[in-house]
Amino acid sequence: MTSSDPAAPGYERSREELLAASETLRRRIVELEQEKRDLEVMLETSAAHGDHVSEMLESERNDLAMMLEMTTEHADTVEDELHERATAALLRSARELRMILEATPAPVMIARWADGEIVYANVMLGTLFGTSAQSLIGRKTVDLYYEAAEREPMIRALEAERGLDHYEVRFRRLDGLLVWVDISLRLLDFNGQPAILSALYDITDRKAAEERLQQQVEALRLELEETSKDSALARSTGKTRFENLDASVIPHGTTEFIAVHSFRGGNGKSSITANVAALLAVAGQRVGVVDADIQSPGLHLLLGRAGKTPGHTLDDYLLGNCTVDQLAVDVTAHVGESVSGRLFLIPASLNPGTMAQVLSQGYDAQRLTRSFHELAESLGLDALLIDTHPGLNEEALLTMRAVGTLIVVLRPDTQDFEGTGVTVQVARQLEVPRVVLIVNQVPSGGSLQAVRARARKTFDSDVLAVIPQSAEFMGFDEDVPFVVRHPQHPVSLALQQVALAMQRAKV
Amino acid sequence: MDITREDYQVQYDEAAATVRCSGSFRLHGDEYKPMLDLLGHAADTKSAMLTLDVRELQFLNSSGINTLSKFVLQVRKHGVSQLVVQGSTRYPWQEKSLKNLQRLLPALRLDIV
Repeated sequence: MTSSDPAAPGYERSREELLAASETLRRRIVELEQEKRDLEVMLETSAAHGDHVSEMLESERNDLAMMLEMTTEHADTVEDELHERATAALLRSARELRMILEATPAPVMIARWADGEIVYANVMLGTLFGTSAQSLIGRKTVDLYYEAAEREPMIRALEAERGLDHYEVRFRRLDGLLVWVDISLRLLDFNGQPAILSALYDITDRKAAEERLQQQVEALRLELEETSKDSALARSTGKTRFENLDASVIPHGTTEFIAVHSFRGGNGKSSITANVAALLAVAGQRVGVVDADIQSPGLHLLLGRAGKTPGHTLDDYLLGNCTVDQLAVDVTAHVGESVSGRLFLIPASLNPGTMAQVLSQGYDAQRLTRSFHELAESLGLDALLIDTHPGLNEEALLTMRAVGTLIVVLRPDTQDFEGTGVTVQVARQLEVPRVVLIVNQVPSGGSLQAVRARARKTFDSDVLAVIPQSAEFMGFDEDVPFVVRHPQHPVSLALQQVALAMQRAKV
Repeated sequence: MDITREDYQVQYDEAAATVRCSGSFRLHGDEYKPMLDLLGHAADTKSAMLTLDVRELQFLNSSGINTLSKFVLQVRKHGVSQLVVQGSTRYPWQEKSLKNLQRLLPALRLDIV
């Protein structure tokens, strides 16, 4: 069709117009081609960027996965290490516990809480039960009690308090013998199971001694009651070798009667007695010292009478061979020339025949206690100190009844504390008006204050003095009392407190 | 910038380009942030040689190893420092766990003595 074609009147264009249209189309095509190329570049760029991001993400994912693995592995490593350390510590701890228990000088056992089966016993426990430690393992604790029923209240108390101290209970050795023990219990985990740790202390001897003592005290009390009813009645009960045990009739008057006693020997009782007596004499008092330790006299050695044969002795008086006026020896000069008071010694016999006679035949008990009174009166004494034989023998019990003050000398060790406990208990039963303590031979390094507090608390009694250990004092062998030779020595200062307390008591 | 606590210390010796860790790292999560900042600062200095000395580090928990890993990644990201990690055979975890850091940065040099 051409522009002159009459059949297409609307499409009649000039050549110029057509050329222009053609140019426009060409440009449009160029533009579109450019756009297409741009789009292609953009697509390529986006794809490349996507790949890059994807790679980065992949890398980070790998890193995170690695870190997770590393962290997990590290956690496992540390966990293993800690577990090994904990296991080793547990084993070490168990081994150390066994070593400690084996080295403990007390019987110890560990029993399962659930069924009471013994899972550990030390050698000392075996000894206590008269067998080997090994043979006790696997036994039930309930079978070891003297009466099975005694276990139950103990376990209930343990459950309530989580621990139990110093419970006294009876066990039965494998040979059937009764054994009293002081037992302390603790709950613990042993080999991963709840268990009971028991530490035992054999108190069979103490229990037997207490029982004997109780019987003795009771017997003495009965005798005292009987003789008080009729003091003229001299009789023998068969339970004691004393013929007339009327000790309660001693009138104390103005004289302070002081017994110095100890549960065990060798703790300085006589040295303390002699020196306190010397201090009282120095202070102007008239003082008598009776060596009532008939079995092992020694007071004369401390008061300047070593090697000198005494005229008459307490033994002679008890046997009725002399009067009380013949007994006293004036030993004031031993203390010093310028002493304003007086010091008299009433010695005991060193003659084996006389000693044996007194000890084997016995004597009129009233004569002993009466001698105290007569001596006080005839010598005009302010104080009479009576040095007794150690232990709870009959002379000691008798003397306790006759004095206003009982001084108990003890050392700060378990045996003396235990024995002193019994002595103090007996003294109270015998109604001694005043029971006081002197703790002697406290080892250097020990706190005197702590020892004083412990003694006061344990015995509920006044502590007159706490004396430090001194070889110088215990071994003193000069012809003058220690307190006079060394007035500023710590021992002398402590003894001055005792003398002062005695004077105050008298006032 | 050093961190000193009762049970652990982290010290950065800039002159020697060395971070020293000692004691026990038993922290949790965000508590490690100050330590991570200190390690990041050391990595950002881009010194040619950078040393992490953990010979006196007795204990390291899981969050702790995670913190050290992030430090290694930071060094790898910069790609300019030779990282040296010094450990000790006295603490068994170090032999097992420190070598895993090489998985994040194979060029890491591990000196365990």
